[in-house]
Amino acid sequence: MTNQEKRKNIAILFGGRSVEHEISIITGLQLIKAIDTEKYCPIPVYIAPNGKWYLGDKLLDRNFYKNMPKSLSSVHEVVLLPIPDIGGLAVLQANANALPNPESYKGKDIIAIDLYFPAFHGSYGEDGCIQGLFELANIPYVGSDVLSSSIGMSKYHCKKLVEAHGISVLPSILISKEEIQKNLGHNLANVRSKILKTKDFDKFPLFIKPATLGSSIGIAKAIDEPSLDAALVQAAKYDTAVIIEPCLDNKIEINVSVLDQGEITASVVEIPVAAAGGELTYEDKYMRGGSKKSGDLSQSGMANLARIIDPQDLDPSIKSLAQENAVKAYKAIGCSAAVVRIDFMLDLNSNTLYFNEINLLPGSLAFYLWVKSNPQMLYTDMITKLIEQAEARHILKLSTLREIGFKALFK
Amino acid sequence: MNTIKIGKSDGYPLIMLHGWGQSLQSLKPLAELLGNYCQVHLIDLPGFGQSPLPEADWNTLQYAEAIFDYAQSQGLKQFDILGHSFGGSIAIRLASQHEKAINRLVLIGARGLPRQSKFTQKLYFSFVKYLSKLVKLTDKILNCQIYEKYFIAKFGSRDYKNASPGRMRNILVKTVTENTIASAQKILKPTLLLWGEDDTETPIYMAQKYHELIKNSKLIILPAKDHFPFNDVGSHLCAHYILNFLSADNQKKQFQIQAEAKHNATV
Ligand SMILES: Nc1ncnc2c1ncn2[C@@H]1O[C@H](COP(=O)(O)OP(=O)(O)O)[C@@H](O)[C@H]1O
Repeated sequence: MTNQEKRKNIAILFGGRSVEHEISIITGLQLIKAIDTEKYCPIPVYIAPNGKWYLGDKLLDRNFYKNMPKSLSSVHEVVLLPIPDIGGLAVLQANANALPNPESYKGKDIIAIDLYFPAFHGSYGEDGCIQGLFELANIPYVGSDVLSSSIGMSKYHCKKLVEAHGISVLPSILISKEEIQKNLGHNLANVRSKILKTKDFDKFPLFIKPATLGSSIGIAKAIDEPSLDAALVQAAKYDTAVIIEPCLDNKIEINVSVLDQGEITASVVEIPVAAAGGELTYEDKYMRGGSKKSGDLSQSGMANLARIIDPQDLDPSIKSLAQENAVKAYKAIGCSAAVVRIDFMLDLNSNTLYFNEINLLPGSLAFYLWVKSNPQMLYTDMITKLIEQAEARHILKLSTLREIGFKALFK
Repeated sequence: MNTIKIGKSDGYPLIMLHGWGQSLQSLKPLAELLGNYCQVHLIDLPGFGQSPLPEADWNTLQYAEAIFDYAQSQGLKQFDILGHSFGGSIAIRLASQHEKAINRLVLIGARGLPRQSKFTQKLYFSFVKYLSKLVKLTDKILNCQIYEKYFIAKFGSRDYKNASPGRMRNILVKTVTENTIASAQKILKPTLLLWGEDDTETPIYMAQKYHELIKNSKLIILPAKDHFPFNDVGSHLCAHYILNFLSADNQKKQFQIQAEAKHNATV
């Protein structure tokens, strides 16, 4: 191939210690299939459920994941060291048959990487954790930084922040898992009365969800006290805190993507469609359509969800409010070099548009919205834009002065 | 012929031709991405999809003429053409026969070049050919159907198996051995060659050969893609390269069309 030497090595990271591990694999592999290979050389990096990092071309084959953990012996085990200026992934255990081959850097086996592109969903990958490692290693990476990722990941804190910027949100209560566990013996009476005594929370139905999780895992609607107890226990199984909101019974969901392409822009809106009406389940999001065998994740992940993109019968003023608020929220949360998806709920009773949550690394990177936006943006071009924004942000960061000295010690 | 039009009605026309055993559906996702800029004409080639069988055992030249006739009937004086696999060899024929009508070419995994088979493969092919004659003869003498029932299942290519006996199988046999070298050499129009690196049906040495044969061609090899590089999100990658290639002088062309339309209106 021409220009092969000049191509930048882009590590695409996926998998991770998250319940959304599998969906991340889909997002990662999809990204690799769409990246401009004339400009970039994509290098797949897989974080296994146990947290170990692997690198190698075998990761591109779906069968690799079927044959886990046996297949792990066909790839390199690598790690990103939290030390600046190494610029690549250190090889812990090389595999003679895996590609690309490591090079030697100051006596260490290193696989050179120019930029890191995380394609994780959920814990440790979307919440600022891995972003912290990127910061320590001082390498350019795509997507929001530590602070905005962790704020965005907490449904509660995120809502408080965007509310302060004039965006409507539903009232919410945050209860820690500790509090729930402590009260388990007492039938959760204390927790329950605390909730029901709060303003706006005195009547059912209520909606309960884990405070940071995505993909509709652990969510439940409470219609009375017993179902509230059950919902609290269930949600606390998945997270260290639980968030409670009034339940909207007559609503539609409206999602918008926001992309940093130099200018912060909003995509067209979409209305995701649940199989049986009501809330979208994990199955709706990832298992429906395409897959024949049960338990077999569909190839295209979020891009495959039943949805209406740019619905013609939706009030244009609601559409533009969603787009406006989405851009506002992106900026308020402090996202950068990112593509996010912001989910709103439109209460059909009051015609109020509520910000519900931000997905800092949305499934399929929400490319399916951009291809329907005006002007159309191809996934390939979107990936290039994100990489360029990430490079620009890194250069900007390097230009900020940080002098470290020992003057104070030896005065 | 069954055809559909997708995209901008005032865009520069692009005719897309699918591969053997496919239909216009195989190129539709790609067409939808290109449709934001082009006026795409998707065609079910005669004998495929919803188009009726050709009236005779056509070769690729006859297919090319049918496409040319379609373009004429649509009033397309000049257009871009994209061909995949079998559709690629038709596009090559069309471009060499009707030079003026074609503006630019995109070829994806185009057929039409002889396979470089190894000695052992050659031996195998001549063995299969000999055997097929023998089996056909046996069928004739004993009045049985070993050839249809067993031989094809064991030795026939996927395309051959998929082609219904009769006209389409005759066309396959005819076109598969056709050689487009002379036609490709005649092409002077800008040509983009898009090829999956892991293509086993039209391996990349064929792309390199076409790159040599077609003077004004650009070759892009797509890593980790097969004979259908435009499947799934590959459609975005292909559309990216195709639009870059086509947009190079699209604006100029757009202007010409408008000027022509104005001219026609005043005449
Ligand atoms: N307060 C609420 N009232 C009614 N439905 C809700 C409420 N909050 C969330 N939902 C529904 O629950 C689903 C998942 O909630 P969401 O906050 O988006 O969590 P996740 O991050 O798991 O997707 C959404 O599809 C939404 O329709």
